[in-house]
Amino acid sequence: MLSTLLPFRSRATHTAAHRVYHHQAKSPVLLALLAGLTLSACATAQNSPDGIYDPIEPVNRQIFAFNDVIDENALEPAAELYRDTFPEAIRNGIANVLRNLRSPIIIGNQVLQGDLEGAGNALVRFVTNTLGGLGGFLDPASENGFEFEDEDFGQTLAVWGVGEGPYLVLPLLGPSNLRDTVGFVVDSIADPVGILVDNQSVGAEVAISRSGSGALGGRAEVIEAVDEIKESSIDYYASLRNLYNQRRQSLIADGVVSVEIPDFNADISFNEEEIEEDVSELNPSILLSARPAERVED
Amino acid sequence: MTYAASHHAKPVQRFFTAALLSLGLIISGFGTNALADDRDGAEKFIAATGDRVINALQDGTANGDNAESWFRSLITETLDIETMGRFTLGRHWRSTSPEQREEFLQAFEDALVNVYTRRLREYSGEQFEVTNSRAEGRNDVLVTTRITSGNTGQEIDADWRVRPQDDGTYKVIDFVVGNVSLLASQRSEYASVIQRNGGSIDALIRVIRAKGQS
Repeated sequence: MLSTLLPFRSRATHTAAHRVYHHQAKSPVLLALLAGLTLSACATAQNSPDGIYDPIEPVNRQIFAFNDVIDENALEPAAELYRDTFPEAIRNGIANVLRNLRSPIIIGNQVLQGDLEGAGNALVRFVTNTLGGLGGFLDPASENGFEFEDEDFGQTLAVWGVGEGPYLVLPLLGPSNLRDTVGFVVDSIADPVGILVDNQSVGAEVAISRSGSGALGGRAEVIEAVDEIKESSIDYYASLRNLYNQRRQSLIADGVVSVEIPDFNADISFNEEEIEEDVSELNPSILLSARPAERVED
Repeated sequence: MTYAASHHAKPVQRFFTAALLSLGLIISGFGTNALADDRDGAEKFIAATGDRVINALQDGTANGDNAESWFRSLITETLDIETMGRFTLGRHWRSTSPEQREEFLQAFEDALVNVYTRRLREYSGEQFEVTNSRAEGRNDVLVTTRITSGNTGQEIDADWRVRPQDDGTYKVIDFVVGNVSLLASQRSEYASVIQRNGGSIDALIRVIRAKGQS
């Protein structure tokens, strides 16, 4: 049913041989990425002005421009059509189903991060919403205080102390960094729902529908926000690079990451230069150093 | 280690430790009260500002020919432009001349007026309500508001970072949406534009101005 919502369909005939090839191909990529991650830990120079390591900025900017063309011509119009066609309740339901299907991967990552409370929360959500929420279409768990918390293997690596590596703009997928890219690949391979689906005859169709409708639904929710950022930005690329970084930091910390805004008017007795050069709130290495993730409750 | 040391401490040292601890408690006690007052004041300030904007949009004061000047006075009264501008310029502030600083702050203010005049003109019966607040940074308060769309009923939580001023008033210094600071993002953008223009602040000012006219 989900595939009918999509502007595109799978052309691939999904045979067993195709699947095997698919899985074999992933491992060397993963190894290469992990090797790159290790190497990148040694390199520290070439930071962007706000402390984000972006050594291949010119390439990133080109991919970014390419993605933007795709977005303007395909994804955004499709998202608008999607939003106009389906009432909010249906769109929320679809988003809920997709979110619910991510539960196994979220539970796994919570456990790997040592956040057993978070894992319990995700488990309660999964059971409640699957059984009492029409297979995940509704979200009664949130109404009872079990709020959704997004986790992925990129965040797990961060909690383990892995640095983010270079900032990357991935074709079609958008802003990322080496750590989060590895996380994305690991999540895609390890996802029990994905493996289950892969072994069905309609595996490819379902998998594509799943990621496609996820992208469409996600894009539909932020049409105005993206327009606004684009319209008011004087460097859209730098703006999104920073927004991505801040967003990831707050997800990793499971809460708010404070930005220090000095009191410029006060009669300051400490070194002014030190403050103005302090970009620590934007430097992920601070966040990723041994300090345990801080949870900020509302 | 401190724990072990306290067992061997002399009575005099223990007295001083106790005195310091109680002093600390007293000070932090004062701090809590001041904070509670500031949270209350900041929440009222945000609620009053929200009402002011909504009333002006409804009775037409903020529309038509006077819109820009109306928004400019709103913005200069409720935002701490200098703190925001200085923060977004970051370390480049020190290397700019007083004339450049003035010019930059003016361009910064004009850009804010442009963005908000445009954004608030799209008003269509939105509801604005203060839902929460908490301490942020050294003296600031982060006031959470829920904005409900007049058309779709969609709800957005937006946080306003409010800084108490010396004269007892309050001013907004940052907007936080989805745990993301828009001021920090703007600073990173400005730094990137300066870097790509060979470190020129004048180029940044030109780009900000050009954006406002487009």
